[in-house]
Amino acid sequence: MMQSNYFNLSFKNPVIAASGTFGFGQEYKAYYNPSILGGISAKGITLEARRGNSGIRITETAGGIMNSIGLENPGVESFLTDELQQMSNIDTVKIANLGGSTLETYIEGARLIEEHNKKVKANASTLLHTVVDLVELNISCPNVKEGGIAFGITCEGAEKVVREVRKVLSIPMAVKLSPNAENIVNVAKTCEYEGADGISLINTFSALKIDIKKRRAVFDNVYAGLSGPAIKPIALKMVREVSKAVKVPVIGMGGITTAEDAIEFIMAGAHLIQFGTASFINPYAGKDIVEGIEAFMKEENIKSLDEIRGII
Amino acid sequence: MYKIISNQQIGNDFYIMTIEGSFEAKPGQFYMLRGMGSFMTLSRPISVFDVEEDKIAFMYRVVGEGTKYFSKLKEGDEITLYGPYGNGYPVSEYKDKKVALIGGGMGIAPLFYLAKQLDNAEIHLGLNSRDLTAEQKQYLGQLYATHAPTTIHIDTDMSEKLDFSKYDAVMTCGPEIMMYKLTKMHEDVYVSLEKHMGCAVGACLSCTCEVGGKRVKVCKDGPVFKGSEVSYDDAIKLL
Repeated sequence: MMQSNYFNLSFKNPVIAASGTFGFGQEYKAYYNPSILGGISAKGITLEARRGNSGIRITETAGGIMNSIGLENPGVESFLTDELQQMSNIDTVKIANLGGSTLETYIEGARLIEEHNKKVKANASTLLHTVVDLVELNISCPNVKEGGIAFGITCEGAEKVVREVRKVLSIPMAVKLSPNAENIVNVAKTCEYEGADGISLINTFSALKIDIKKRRAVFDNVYAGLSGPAIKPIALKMVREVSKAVKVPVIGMGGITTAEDAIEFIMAGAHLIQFGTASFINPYAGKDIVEGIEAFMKEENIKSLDEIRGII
Repeated sequence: MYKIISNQQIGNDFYIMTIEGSFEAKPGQFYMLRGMGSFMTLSRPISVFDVEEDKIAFMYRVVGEGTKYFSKLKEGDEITLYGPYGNGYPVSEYKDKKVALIGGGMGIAPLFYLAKQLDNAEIHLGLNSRDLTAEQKQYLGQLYATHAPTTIHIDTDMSEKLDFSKYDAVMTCGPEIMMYKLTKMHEDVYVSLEKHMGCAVGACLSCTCEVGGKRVKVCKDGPVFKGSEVSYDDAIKLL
C-alpha cells in the first residue's frame, strides 16, 4: 500500500530515519525492528574519521533541540567495511550520508563508496556483501567549521560539488540542503541541473543559545543546529517550494514527529520523508509514523500516496 | 506512562520521586524520564536511586526546566520513562570487598542502591552547606545508613580527607573534578560520568568522550568506567 519506487530503489514505505539520529541502524532495535522502515540514512560520514566537537553537544529549546556533534564518525572506509556490513540483516534502503570539508574530500569519499559497491557486486571480497543503495550528499552540516555547509549556501558552491561528485558516482544521489541557503529553491534547481537524482531537505538551522550566568555561548562552536517540532512549519514551506520547482523526487524532513506531520510533508510534495529528533522524544517514533500513515490511508480510503502528494 | 507514588523534597532542590511499577535495574544504570507529552523534546537521564518489588525511585536535583517540571509532579500524576540504560557499577566482583562509595552533589544518587547490593561498603556523601538544612542532613544520613555506614562531609574535599589505603576499591559519582582527584588516590576507582544526552541508545553521539584511548558513548558503553582510563578533559580545563 505504501510501497513506492524512487532512484530505481524499492521503498516499502516513505519513512526514513534521518542521518545523525539513528546511528548505524542497530541502536533502536530494542524498540522495534528497523527493517519496518523505508530506509535508514546512517550517521554522516567524512573521508577521514572525526572526533566531533568539544563541550556540550546537545541542549533543549522550546519545541526543539540544538546539537553540535560536529560529524563525529569513523571515516568512509571504516563505515563501508564495518558499520555498513553490520546493517546487512536490516531489510531496508541503506543510505550513506556523505559530508566533506573540501571539494577533494567529497570526491574521494564518493569515489570510495563507488569502488566499494563495484567490489561487492563483483563478489571480489567474501567479507563485504552490503552496498550503499543511495548517497545523501550532505552540503548542509552547520556544525563543522569550513564544513560542507559552505557548499550548500550558494548555487555556485552546490554546482561545483554536485558536478564533481556526480562524475565519480553512478550510485543514486540525493543532495541534502540547508535552510540557511541564500535561496533554497535555486540551490535545489542547481543540484538537479548538475545531476542530482533527488533533493533532501532540510538540515538543521544554524542557531544560537547563550548561558547568561556564564556569559558565554552554550556551545563551544558558538552556533549549533536547531531541529525538532519548532522548525516544522518552516521546513514544510521549504519542501513545498522546492518540490514545485524540481522534477526529481524530494525527501522532506524537519521536525516530523508523528504520522500526521509526515502526511503534511507528503501533501506539500515530498516523495519520501525522514524523522530525526522525533526518536529522542519517542524511541518508537519510526514505528508509530509507519503505522500511523497506514492507518490514515485506510481511514481516508487512500489507495496510493500519489493521490495526496503535492495537493497543496 | 507510570504513576507517581510520592515526590519528596529532601534537600534544597533535591527530590526523591517514587514511581509505581515492576522494574529491573542495576546500580549505576539510568532511565530517561519525561513529561509534558512531546513538549519536552529531550528526556532527562536520571540514575536509579532504588528499586523495590513494585516501585522504583529516582533522586534528582532541580537544575533547569525539565527537573523543575519533575519537582512539581504530585502523587497520582503520570510520568513517562524509558530504560534502564547503561552498564552500571561492577557489583558482583566487589560483593564482599571493602568498597568506598563516594558521592558529590547529585552524584550521591546512585550510591544508595549500590550500597544495598554490596556487603561491605562505606558511604561518604559530599555536599555543600547550602544543599541541606541540619534536619535534612540528619534525614539523609539515616536514610543511607540503612545500607552501610554513612558520613556526610559538608564543604570538604574528600580526596584529601579519607584514608584510601583501607579500601579494595572506590566507586564514585559526582563532579568530574572530584572523580579526577579520587582517581589519583586509589588504583581501583570506578567513576560514573555525566553528559548531556539525546537518545540514550548510542545513536546521536551527544555524549561521547575519550576513555582508554577510544571514543566511547557514555550512555551505552558507560556511564561507569574505570577511573584510570578516563581522560577528564573537562575537569583538567578547570584546574
